[in-house]
Amino acid sequence: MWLLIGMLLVGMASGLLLAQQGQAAPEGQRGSEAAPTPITLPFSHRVHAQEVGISCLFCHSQALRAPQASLPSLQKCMVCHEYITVDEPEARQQVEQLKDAYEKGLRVQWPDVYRQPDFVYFSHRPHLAKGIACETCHGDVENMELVEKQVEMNMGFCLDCHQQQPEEERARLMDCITCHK
Amino acid sequence: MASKVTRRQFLKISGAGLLLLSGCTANLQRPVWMEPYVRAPEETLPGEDFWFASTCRMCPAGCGILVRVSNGRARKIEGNPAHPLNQGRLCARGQAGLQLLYHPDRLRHVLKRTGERGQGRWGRTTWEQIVEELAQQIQGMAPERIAFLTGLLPDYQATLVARFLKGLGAPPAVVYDTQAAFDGRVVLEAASQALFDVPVLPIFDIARADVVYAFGSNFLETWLSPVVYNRAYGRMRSQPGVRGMLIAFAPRLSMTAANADRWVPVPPGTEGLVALALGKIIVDEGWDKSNAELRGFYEGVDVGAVAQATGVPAEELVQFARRFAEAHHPVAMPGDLLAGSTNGLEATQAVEALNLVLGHLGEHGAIFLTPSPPSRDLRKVPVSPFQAVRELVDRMAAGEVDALFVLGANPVYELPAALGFTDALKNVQLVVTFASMMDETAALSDIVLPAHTYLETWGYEFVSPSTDRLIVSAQQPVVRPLYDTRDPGDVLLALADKLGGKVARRLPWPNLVHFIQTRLTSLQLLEGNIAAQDAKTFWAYWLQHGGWWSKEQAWQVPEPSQNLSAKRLLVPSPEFDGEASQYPLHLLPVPSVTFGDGRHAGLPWLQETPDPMTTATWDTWVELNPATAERLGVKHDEIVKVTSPFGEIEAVVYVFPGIHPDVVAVPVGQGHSAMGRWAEGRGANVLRILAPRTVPSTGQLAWAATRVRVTKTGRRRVLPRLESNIGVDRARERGVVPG
Repeated sequence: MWLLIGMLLVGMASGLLLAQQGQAAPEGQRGSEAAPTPITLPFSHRVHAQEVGISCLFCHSQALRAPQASLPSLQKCMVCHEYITVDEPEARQQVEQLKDAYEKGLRVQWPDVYRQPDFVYFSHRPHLAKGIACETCHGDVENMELVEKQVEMNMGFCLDCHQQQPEEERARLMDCITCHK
Repeated sequence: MASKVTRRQFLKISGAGLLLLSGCTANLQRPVWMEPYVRAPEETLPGEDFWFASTCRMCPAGCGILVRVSNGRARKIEGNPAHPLNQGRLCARGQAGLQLLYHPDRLRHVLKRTGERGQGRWGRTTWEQIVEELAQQIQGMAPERIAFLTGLLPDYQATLVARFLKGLGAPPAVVYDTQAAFDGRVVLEAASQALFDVPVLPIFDIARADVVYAFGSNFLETWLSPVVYNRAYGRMRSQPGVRGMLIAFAPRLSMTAANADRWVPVPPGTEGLVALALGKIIVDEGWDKSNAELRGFYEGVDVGAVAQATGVPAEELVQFARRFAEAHHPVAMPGDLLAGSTNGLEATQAVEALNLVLGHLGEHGAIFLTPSPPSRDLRKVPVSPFQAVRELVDRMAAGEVDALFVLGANPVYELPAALGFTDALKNVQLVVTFASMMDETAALSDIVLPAHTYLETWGYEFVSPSTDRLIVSAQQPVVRPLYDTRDPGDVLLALADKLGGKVARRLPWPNLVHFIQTRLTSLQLLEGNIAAQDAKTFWAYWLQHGGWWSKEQAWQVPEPSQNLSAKRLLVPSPEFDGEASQYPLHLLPVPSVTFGDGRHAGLPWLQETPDPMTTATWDTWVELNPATAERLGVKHDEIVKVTSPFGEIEAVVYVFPGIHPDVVAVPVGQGHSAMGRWAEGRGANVLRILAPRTVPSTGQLAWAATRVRVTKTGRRRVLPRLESNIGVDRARERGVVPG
């Protein structure tokens, strides 16, 4: 009987997978076409943050006020790039692409490097309010051409820091429900 | 049970299986991408929610909603607790509004036919071009040859359409959809006219009633304003010291009948006769203290004959009458099923007369009327009867219509096939449809104008039927439009501007917001939930609160008509299409609690929502009484053919003890040939095989007046159901339930 149940389970699992693939197939084949594929552009934090010296909060402007630090809108990119371009041909072309996307309202997307799973509640606001520097968690982004994951933001990483907080804060910061709502 | 595999072995096997599987499939984790705004909205905070108050447009009721919006995306719809209509409640249909917004098969651009009509070959064009082109075409046409067919539109759209057509000099729009026919709006208004001299919808205050008799009324599922009636029903059952009683007279055990203390199955079309007999007994026994002048109502009513026609014994009728007359706050309510019969108007009057005879008008737990709007600007556009559609189709067939505009309706799907709408369409030069999805009518059009969903646009609604308040509900966009769509109202304004002349004078507003603001100016002076010094502040508060409603109760008490004393109530026997010998069963199309008249079949949440009585999903079924099923030799899940004189459909049998043996019920809503991936090619459309029969007195479609024959096909398809039928079947076998 166990064998039967086991086979059933495996069968169900494979059925589920197949069903998922089957559902994915018809996308874009229907009468109404799929939305245009978003473009991706390389963004150098080294140039922007290091060489030009733009503060993190100029672009990620909501970090002080909101749970998410936010990506700047294309409109914000245009604050500078309306007037500023670069000499290097490849980069110049990318800036042109960005301008084009802004004018036409096209979608641009960037990979999410640091992502917390759904069961974690994290807000930038209280961390910045405590005066924690961006680099503490995100690493030396200033000197990275493309952002890569330098810090493994797992539970141990969070608790290491929470544990070092003043005695009166610690109970609250170590409470499960602080991060797992 | 003896087993050769131990638990340990089982775990090993399933573990190995899963390992094998995970090896076979590619990376299951999707990469996550972040997409910034092109232009960031000023007020958003990433990761923080915003709640916008608006009005639900998933059915014509007009409940207040709150939409949770996060990072510019609508995430959840809930009822607005401050809104006096639904008071924070919302039905499944309202919750599923999000899927209308995000439906992958939504129309995204203006489409113009490039192939033959109905071939499905479309070219894209821009809004500017299409408005220019439509204006040119309209200018070249005689105005009386332009026709507009709309469903029950939100007030702002209906008003704009009416003004547009008036400006053009074209005939007024035909305002009809099957939802309105199921509600029986035309019939209810005609009954109010006959009894109270005003053609408005009645309101039944069941919340404060102690005895409710529902005649063919499915108010807990679909009738008029189901959220309001659900709430009122709950209150009726839990009044201080009193548990209100509900008795349902209907041929089918609907959710309302299932919740009743007593369900009295009567043959279709005879509910009015029961009401008549009850009235007769009340009068004869002298319960009608103060209303002796109304005795003429029941002259010549024969209780014995009613007992015979309905199968309800005369003694029981007497008991029902006494219970009703003895109650402090009894209310008798007509409903959707009455409106579907050929004797609908007479039956509705007979039911409402029960309240009249006992003098229960305009008091606690009695009958009220929908008040008139607080200002002339907010007047509603009247609903047309089915007869108006028939006349339109005749004109189309005769080649008297050059251009047909369709908005908020899907006539190709929802009209009986025998009416010949699809054929008549061939004689119309230009067919323009406003739609957010490619439905059956859009597919047969020349130009399809993609519409905003209600979550992307502005609007207002004078709620009717309402509750104890006057309500002007607010509708506002909660997200930016996802695609290159426009509100049909804005299209009409642009078109009027292009056409100039009289039309432009009738529609002088640059956009919807200006138009709606002018409609509201008179409200600002009235006492309500909002106090504002100037129009701008009023507008802001109106949007914030989700509408304006009167501070005081605004029940309108019905005044009996002057000439009632000479009136005699007569309920003729119901008539049916089809010879009884050839078509022995009565067909009862059941409006769906989720799809309504079929417009929401494209939304998977609603497909997945089980029907309250059968728990069936994703398909169409035929409800057969066990005795009928046995006679036909069919069982659960067998496919049968349901044939009317006007066509046939195939659907799966569901053996249901809660239905009169002479009746087969088929839910409405499936059987779409268009409307997106989840609606297409699923189940069958029962509306197509209905007799296109018009009741002369009201012009209403007698949608429950078709006879059918059910035949076996020998094929089988398992009906997806949430629960098995074992409980019901066993209970029947043991004689616990009849059948």
